[in-house]
Amino acid sequence: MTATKKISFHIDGQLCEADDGRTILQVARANNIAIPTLCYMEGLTPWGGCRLCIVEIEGSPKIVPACTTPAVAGTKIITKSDRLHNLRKATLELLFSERNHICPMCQYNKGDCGLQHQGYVHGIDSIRYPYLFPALPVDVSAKYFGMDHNRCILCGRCVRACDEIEGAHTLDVASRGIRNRVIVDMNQTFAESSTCTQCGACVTSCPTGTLFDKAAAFRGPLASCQQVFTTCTECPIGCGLRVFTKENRIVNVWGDPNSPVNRGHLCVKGRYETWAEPRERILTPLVRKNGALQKATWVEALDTIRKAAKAAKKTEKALLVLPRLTNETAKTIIGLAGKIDRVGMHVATNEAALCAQPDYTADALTKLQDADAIIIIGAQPSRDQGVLAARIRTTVRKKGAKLLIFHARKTNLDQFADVRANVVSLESKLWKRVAATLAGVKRPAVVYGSNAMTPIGVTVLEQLIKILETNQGGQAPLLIGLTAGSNSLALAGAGLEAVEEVGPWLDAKPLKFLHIVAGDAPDGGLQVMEENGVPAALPQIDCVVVQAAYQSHLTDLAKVVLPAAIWCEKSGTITNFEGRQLKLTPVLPLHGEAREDAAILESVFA
Amino acid sequence: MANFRAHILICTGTGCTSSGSFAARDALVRELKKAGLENEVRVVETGCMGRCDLGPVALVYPDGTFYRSVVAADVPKLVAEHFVKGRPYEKLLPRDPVTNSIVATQQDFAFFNLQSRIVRENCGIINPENIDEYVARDGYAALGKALTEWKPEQVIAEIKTSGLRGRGGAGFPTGVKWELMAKVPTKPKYVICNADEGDPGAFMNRSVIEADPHSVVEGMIIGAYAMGANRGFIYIRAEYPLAIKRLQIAIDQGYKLGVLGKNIFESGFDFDIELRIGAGAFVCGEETALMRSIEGRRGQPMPRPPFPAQSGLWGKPTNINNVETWSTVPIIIRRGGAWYATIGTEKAKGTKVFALAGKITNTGLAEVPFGTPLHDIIFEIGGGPPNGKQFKAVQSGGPSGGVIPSSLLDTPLEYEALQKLGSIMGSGGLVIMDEDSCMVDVARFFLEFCCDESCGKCPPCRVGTKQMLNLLEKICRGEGVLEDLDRLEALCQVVRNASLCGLGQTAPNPVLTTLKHFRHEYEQHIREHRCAAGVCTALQLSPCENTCPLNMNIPGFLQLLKEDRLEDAFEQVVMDNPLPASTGRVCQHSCENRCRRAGADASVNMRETHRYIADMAYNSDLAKKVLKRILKRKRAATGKKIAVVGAGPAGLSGAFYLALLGHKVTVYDSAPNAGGMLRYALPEYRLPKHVVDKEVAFIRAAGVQFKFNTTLGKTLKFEQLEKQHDAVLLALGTWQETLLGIPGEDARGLYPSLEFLNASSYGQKPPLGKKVVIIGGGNSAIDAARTSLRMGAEVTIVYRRSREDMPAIPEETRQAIEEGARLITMAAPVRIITDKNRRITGLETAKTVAGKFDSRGRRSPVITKETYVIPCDTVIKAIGEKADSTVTQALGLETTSRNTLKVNPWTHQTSHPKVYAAGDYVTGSANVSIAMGWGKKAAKSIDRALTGEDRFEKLWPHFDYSQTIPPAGQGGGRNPERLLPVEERRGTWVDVSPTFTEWQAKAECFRCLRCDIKAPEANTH
Repeated sequence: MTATKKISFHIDGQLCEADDGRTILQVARANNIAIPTLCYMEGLTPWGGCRLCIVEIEGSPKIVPACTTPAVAGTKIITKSDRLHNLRKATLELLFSERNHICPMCQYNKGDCGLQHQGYVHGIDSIRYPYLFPALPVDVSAKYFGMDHNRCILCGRCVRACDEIEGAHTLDVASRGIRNRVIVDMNQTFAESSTCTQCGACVTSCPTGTLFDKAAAFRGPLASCQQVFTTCTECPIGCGLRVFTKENRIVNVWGDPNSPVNRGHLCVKGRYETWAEPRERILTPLVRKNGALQKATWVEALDTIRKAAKAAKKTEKALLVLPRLTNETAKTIIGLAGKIDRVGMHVATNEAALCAQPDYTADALTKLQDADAIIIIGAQPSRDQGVLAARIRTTVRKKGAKLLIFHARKTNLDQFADVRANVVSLESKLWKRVAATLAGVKRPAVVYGSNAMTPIGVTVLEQLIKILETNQGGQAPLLIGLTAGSNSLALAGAGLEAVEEVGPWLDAKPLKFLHIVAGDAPDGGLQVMEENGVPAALPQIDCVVVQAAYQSHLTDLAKVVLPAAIWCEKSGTITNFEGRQLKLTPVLPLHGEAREDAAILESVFA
Repeated sequence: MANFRAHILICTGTGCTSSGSFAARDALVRELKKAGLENEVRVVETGCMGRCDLGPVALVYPDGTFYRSVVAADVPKLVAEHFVKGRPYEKLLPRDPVTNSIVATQQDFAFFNLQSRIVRENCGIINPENIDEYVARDGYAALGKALTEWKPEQVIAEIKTSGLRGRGGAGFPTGVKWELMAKVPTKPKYVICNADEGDPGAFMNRSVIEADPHSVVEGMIIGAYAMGANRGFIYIRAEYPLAIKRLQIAIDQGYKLGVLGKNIFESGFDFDIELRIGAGAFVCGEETALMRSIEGRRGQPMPRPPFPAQSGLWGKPTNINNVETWSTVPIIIRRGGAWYATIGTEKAKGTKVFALAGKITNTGLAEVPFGTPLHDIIFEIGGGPPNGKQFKAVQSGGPSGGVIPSSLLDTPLEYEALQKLGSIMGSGGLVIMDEDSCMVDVARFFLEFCCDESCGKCPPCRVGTKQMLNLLEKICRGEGVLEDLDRLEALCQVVRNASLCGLGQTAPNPVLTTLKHFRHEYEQHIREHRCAAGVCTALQLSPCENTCPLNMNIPGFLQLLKEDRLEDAFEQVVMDNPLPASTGRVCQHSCENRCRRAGADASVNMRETHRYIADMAYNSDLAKKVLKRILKRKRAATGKKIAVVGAGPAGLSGAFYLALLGHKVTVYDSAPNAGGMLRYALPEYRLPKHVVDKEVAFIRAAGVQFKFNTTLGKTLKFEQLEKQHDAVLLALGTWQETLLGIPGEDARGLYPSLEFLNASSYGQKPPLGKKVVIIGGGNSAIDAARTSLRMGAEVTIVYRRSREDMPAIPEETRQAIEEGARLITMAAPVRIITDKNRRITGLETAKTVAGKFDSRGRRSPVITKETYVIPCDTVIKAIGEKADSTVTQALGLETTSRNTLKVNPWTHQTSHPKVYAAGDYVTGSANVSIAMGWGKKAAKSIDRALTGEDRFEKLWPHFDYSQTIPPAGQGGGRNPERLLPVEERRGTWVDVSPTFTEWQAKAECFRCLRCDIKAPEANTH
């Protein structure tokens, strides 16, 4: 890398200094000089298509787009002139005339409609051209968002976001000229799409009402909302969230652009499932009376629990948590050690080994993008860690990194893989191919999950590392270990025992009292537990207390159910797979009679 | 290698193969074998020779005989004649479009011998699928020289010396471009050949590839060596299957020969070429879009910088040049940059291949040095528009080029010169348009192409072109308003300045240039709802109606007559044309030029049919009945007084309508009776005076008053006229003679034709000698000739151009000759020979030859030294008349630079707000119908000015008649005008042409195809 040269030049008479190679737009923005844009979006490749950022360079008759033109030392750039204003205005008028942009009719408005904003900025009060208004379809087949082609200005931001951020390339533009249309896959609907991950990056990138979140539609502009930044607890990636609320309700969730982890991007889970999915929330304590759970007061519920707790000896009491808790809650639990015999954290099969030696790699997500080969063993990032999957896709597709996948299940990353095999395969033919694929690889990355922790998985891993080590000049592989639980590693590190199989753990000593902290896991944590079957021991226990936010099979088995806080009501910290301490900030006040996990535990075991 | 006594080269380019050259080739091989000549005559397949319209073409060596239309069926005869009997087979020899004489060899063919072929030096000469033939013509010698003797810098220096500029359109200096790329250190580098030739009507790249693919390959290898690239791509459109095939063959042969691949000529330089097939998007000719397309992405342009030389294909330094540029490179290396720089102009060196298309006689490819005037390539090489049509404009540089009008044909073909006119060089397409092209439609057509091909990335191009297209379509439908032109111009500026790439930036060119040079056509569409060229169908009832200067509803009266409604038919006719019996005899009938029936057999005889209707009406009480009906619709008196000066066709028609509109109209004329030229210039045998009398009576009955023997400026004071009337219509005609400008013009016995005809129509007998020579080729020359014949003289007509160029009605000329006149064409008068009493003894004429084409597409006669004397005692000059400018000056009215009266073309208003003008007085001598058309339009305009309303259409009757399209082919063949036998009409003054019989007139009605019936328009929503 050569040291970047500094250059200086004038923008609108203001002397600006910048690194050589920066575009006029970048420098202007850094110097607080406003240049209107529509197709430009930070983080996406400049496109130069909307023609609003056009500027003049003194002495040249041509006008150039500021977003793609690198600044040249000594030039004088003009961003405001009558000529530019008129051209920009005319371009906007053409856009307004092209499709239906009648703002009052646009209820999908996300608040900062770029087109509307530029209309105001340029003083557009009428359109000189007849409206063309073709009747275009609206695709509302996706679960969480829709696309109304009538509002589209074809700025290509969604196409680039889908391609460059999510790496899915679901969207593209079809046809030519005035018949241009953004299409999904081969002109299908979102519902028919085989590539769309529903990450919503297209929606957040859309400057108009074309792509809209269904749950956010008709809810007023985002600009009118309060914004709170917190952290997603759906998986160990720990993405930063930017939550928009209004009158104590969530209006929308976007990625936090300043988060060093996800830099604004989210997967479908963090973006939609936590708030746009209708889920039955438990809002009051429930106590089983006459065989049925009935609403109760906290006092009543805690009384019932305390009575049951008293009836059991310390050795007959246990606490089972799911790995979603904050680090602070973990501390509280450790503090309870004197009062309960056993404290366990339920983890996925083979995950205990992962928890035993956490492989935190600082900045792993950033480093991954420099990898020239990515090997995935026993993990399904495209299902479980969407943002990681996006980074893998873009690294493979845009930078040409090789991709090797060893996993039993098919995933939608398979189509990009150079080698795709079952994790148990040790066929020599395959290994020759693997070796050939990895020859010359200098910056490998290995992403592994719990399924890699089986004996054969470990063998595969070792074999791979051996192959990589033979590459001369190659670095030690970047290792990224993934757990199913969002905070498993930190919780294990805090001292919680990782329990893979709940049945034997429960059966080890007969229990009379079991407190389960399910938290806001949408299925009460059953997905993990059900992989091994709900332990038969549960119904045998006198008192099962479940602390959960949502109703589930688990709560059905409980004697007492306590309403827990959900992600947007929590405070504290979690530690992500890179070892970062990430802060949770309550977005909304506790709903109903729900309480935070630690507070509940303290009351129960007071 | 076997020796052959002759080679027959048959073109297998795309043009000729589509007209059957492969079958002709097989037939040639077969027939030669049959004749036992297979070892003597060799059949060679070559690429394009440039005359695709004559295909399949073949060239015989060594004699150079050039055969056209060599279809398989004619091959046996061709072989028998040319190769067995040893004489050219005349049937397949081309003819010179001008002289109509047979062209024996390629060298004699103006189309070929005016070109200078450098890029196309091998085209049509070698077999493109055989590398040995290319090598035999010094192929790959340049590569050897460059790779083994020169350093890359030397190659670049040589290209810079040559002054070669990119042939793709922008004309960037190739050497400079190469140098920029060579300096970039990044590796790998790529070179690309842009063969995505997408302009409609342009096929020079295709033809070079099909005819000489190795020259492109060699150029690319040399360029890659100079710039340090080791991989090249040829991006060629899928629509060129033959070119793709031949390129692939050339590349394969190149590898086999070792000019491609590793270590070429042991120089250590490696180079590979791959073909990439484009899917037919015009925008992929734009280099950044082209590279995206090669990468397998959507072909959309990216703003520059970064330029391809820094970051191109896959982000690596890339050089793109056009096919023609690449194929020029080997020639420059072989023959030297300094040699190349001697050709062309200061700023543009070398030659350029142009594709001639559109309304042009010689369609095909022509290679000429830069700087050749447009005029030369269009007329001298291209032969001008076919069928004697008048040249109107040329569109250079493809759909985004500009239109250049005939007045600018001196422009040299050069990048900067074309740019100055708002056009571009582009890839070298020249689309020629003639009088039948509507320039609004032309702009619409080209814009439609650009709109369709816009990639849609940037709104100015995507939406702007669509909005412009909508405006143009609106104007073509006659729904435009004048403000639309401003809107259009403003949009042009936005699209041109704000668009991302060249496609959008140049898309407005056709609109801007047509607006600049043909604004009047736009205005005509908007103001008059007329398309003079007859292209915009929404603006016309039918082609005949549109062409008629009076816009007569011809299908209407034909149908009414067909339905036996003579009275209605006459009413329709006389309302459209108040002098139908006169025009029925003397009209130039331009309607027939556009009659669609002509495509089936011959045009409908519309003139004679409306004459039949008029004669039938005037010879019965029908005219009176119709007059009553017309007077019923006469508007109430407006109290406005209008003076019409001149009782000729223009004045009479204007007065007729103005009177019906309720104005008080007085017609003043210096003559003792009404009719103007009709009465005082047209001879009795052509238009009997009694016919004029009846028509004038009809007009008088409509309420027009006449004041004769009053001359404007003398007995009629203009000030008084102006004071007493609300409006004045000047329809003075043209009566002043023009001068020949030759010695002896003061001779006795020399008459201007009009003076002569005038005198004879008054019944006077001008002193005519025995031998009369008439100078000129117009109607008045023929009238003078036939009048002289009737006076017993011996008549010779002398005309300086060919007979085809004569403006007179061809039938009249034929009749004059039948009656005994002698016609000498290609002869110009140079001197009138007189005796000492200034009496004429003869006319000295010089033989003329066809010279350069003028802007009207006619060859100007050039006087030779070969002269001869026609003995005669009288000379009548019939070379046109001009308006008496003394009247204009006396009135203080503004005149044009050509000394004609200046009027607003839309309102016919002169510089004096009250004064309007019409007829020959404005246009210069034209014909009766045109003059009447002006009178009609002036009346409409005067009425609008006086009343503030458009009331004209209210005068018309409404007739319901059948709107069913007649079955094809009804009515039989055309009924020509009736004519007395020559013995009967010679020497007689009676109408030489009797009226149609009823049967004949009806037959013509049945022959009409009813183009006025329009199919219900498809729902476009």
